[in-house]
Amino acid sequence: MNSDLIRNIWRFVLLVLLQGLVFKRISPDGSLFYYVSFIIFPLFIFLLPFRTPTVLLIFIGFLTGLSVDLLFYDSPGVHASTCVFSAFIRPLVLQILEPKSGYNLNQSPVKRQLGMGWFLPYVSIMLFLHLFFYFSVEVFTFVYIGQILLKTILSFFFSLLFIIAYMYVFDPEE
Amino acid sequence: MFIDNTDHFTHNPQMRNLIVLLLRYGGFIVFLVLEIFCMFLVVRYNRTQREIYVNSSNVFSGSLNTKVSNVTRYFNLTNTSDSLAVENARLYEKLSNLDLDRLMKDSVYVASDSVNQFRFISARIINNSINKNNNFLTIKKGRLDGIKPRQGVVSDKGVVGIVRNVSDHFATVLSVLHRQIRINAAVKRTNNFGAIAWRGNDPTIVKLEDIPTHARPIVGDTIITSGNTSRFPKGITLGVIDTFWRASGSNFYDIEVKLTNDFNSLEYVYVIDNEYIEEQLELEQQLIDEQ
Repeated sequence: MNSDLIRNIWRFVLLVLLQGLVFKRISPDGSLFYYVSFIIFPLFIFLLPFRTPTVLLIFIGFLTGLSVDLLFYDSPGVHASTCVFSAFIRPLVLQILEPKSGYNLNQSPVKRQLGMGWFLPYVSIMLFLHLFFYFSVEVFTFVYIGQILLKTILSFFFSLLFIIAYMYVFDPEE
Repeated sequence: MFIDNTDHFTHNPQMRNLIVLLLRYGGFIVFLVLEIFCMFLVVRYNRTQREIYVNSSNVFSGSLNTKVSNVTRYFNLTNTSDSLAVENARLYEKLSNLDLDRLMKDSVYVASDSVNQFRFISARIINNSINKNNNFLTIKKGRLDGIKPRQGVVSDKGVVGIVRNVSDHFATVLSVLHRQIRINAAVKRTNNFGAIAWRGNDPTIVKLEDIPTHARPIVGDTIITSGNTSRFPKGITLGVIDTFWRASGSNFYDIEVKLTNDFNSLEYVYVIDNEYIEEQLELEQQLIDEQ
């Protein structure tokens, strides 16, 4: 439990700093990558232990998003609302993807425990929904639904690449 | 066991329902509350999203462009006002000379060079008072702009006063609200003429004197400049008759005129340059000298 907590705090710090100091800078604004944002920090929410209660999960999501908003993106509420959304749908997605043998509640939804065959669909669904919600809030009007979808799809592939790389580099046990 | 259980639950069914509700839907409730709070943050602190939220048109770029042009227009306001004032002066000049022109055609003498008798010079007021016994204005046009003492000053709403002293770049104007000022005026409808003078106190009311009892003014009659002093062209509005009465034994009415000018909000005025005033005064002076 205790090592779990520390592990997650470290992961939180690492991912938020990576997002703010590295991935934000290779994100949009360049003409080439106008539609591409690398959003990798929600991985922290995706990887929280199975046993995390939904209410706690949502609060953690809120604080994560708010930290990124206030520390790096200067967009109060945009990432926070997205992370709250992701935290809320996480149990539902886990329910849908639940293997026949069920989850080991002491574990986390990571590649090493459940295999790439389970982890890739899980993280893809979560990331895609997360990005779609994020760009909807960022653009804030469905008048530009085409732009929202284009940003979502392009950013999804680039971000997924880094998330998979992260999973191979660190390969967390829990 | 069964009876025991129901007894236990019926003690506080509301509380039990609430706990069940929270256990089942707590996540959803927290989700909703936090999302609403986040959306508040988004709309409150993010310019893009606020623009879209505030403008139902939902087209951000359009509303942003409007905002930017509103701001830049505000910065250009001074220039715009100045150029408008100059333009107005030019139009006044045309208008008053147009009347004169027509007058000339109707009369016997047609002097070939008498068309442009009045010149209007626009000026911005930089100092003004209405609450003293004798009120002055200062305008930011002076000798170098062609301002001379004793010239008439008007605004778009009516007569303002008479130039008193002139420096190179400034001029002081005795306002109509100055006790020493008398301006020749006429009732527009009947053409009877008298003089306007201010008696203090109310900066919106002046006295019209010397209107004889046979003139029969009515409340609401427009008072205009008579053109007798040639400081002002004939026909510039002064005000409208507010009340009038006749003091017993007097051959003249006491008339109170409500000024059309709001001296408190004046910003631009036009100084009237009568090119022939010296010629006229000189001629009239000869008459006085001969007597």
